[in-house]
Amino acid sequence: MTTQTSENLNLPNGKLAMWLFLATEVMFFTGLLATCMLLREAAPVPGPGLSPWPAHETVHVQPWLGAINTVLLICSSLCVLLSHRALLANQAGKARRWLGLTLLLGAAFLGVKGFEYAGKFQLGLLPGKIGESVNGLSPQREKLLQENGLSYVRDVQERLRALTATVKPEDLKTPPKEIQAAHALLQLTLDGKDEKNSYLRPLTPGQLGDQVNRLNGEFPSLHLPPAIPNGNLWASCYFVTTGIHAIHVFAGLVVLLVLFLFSLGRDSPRLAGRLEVAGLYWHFVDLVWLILYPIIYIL
Amino acid sequence: MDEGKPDNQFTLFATAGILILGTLMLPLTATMSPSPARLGIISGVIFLQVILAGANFMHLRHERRSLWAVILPTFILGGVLLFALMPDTILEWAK
Repeated sequence: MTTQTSENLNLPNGKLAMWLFLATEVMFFTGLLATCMLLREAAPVPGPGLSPWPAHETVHVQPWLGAINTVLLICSSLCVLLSHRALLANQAGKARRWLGLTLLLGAAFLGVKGFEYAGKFQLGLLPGKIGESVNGLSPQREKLLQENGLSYVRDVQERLRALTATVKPEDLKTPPKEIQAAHALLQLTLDGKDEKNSYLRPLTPGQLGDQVNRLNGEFPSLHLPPAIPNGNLWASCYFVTTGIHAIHVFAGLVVLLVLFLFSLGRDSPRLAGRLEVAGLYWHFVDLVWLILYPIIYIL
Repeated sequence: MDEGKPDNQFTLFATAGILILGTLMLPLTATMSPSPARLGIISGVIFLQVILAGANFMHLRHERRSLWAVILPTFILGGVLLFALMPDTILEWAK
């Protein structure tokens, strides 16, 4: 079979088409990452002494998980390359093994990503779901976050009620301590009267946010919704960038799986050209991760 | 030269380079507080890793120079995009 080539660039048409597609992808990811970096750099300072961007520990971003994913993707790129070279050397069996390993490594990447996402879902670190009220917010920010604050109080109350629902009042004097703490905090979110019959004002969203963050540090098993200034902005950036990249990885895996299935019955030279084009895409996805990883996990 | 000659040794060397650079980035940046120097180191490491990956995995080391006519304008436009994407709202926030 002859491969048609572009006259001016002297490249096979499929390869040229892939490069042109990748050029559009470069623009797409540049726009995406640039937007995230600009949002981060220009994030409003929530109040005196408060950081405008959440720290990695606050939003449970683990650099070592990202590092594992980097190793997985780099190794998968190497496997695609070795598979292609094996096909060129007419070693179909060897090529299939390398391609199979690529699929496994790509799937492992998505597995690690899924594990990370599951943690974020469990902790409620999702766009639009994070409470941003803490003590020390500037009055402008507090006014702007009024709706968010009220919704945050409701979410925390709901979680605290769920935690303390099965515990009887007489059992509260005995451990576990975290349930005692949760019950005490729930009482502080409700208006009531103290032992001297004086009116007790419920905690403001900012005060509650501080209390919740303190309790989460003391009793991580409570999994209370944390209060993170600009947390929703961070969550949007995190999920959009890593999510779109993960979709690209998934698409690459589908293409490589199809080629793997083809490799069971097709001739090597024909497959080599296709694998080279698919490999270009896979390497590009790998290259994007090399840029994305430091932006999300290190900076 | 259109297609790179199989050069597994160099490819393995490049792969190891990317992995070592990525691994070094973790302790190096963990011990440094946020500063322009830290950002410079991270950017330098990213640049080296991307060059190694692009040149070896994507065969740019061996490709015809005419292919650069497709790739280079994209990167130039990408750079322009960085500045074009600064919407007024974001600039307003920073004030």
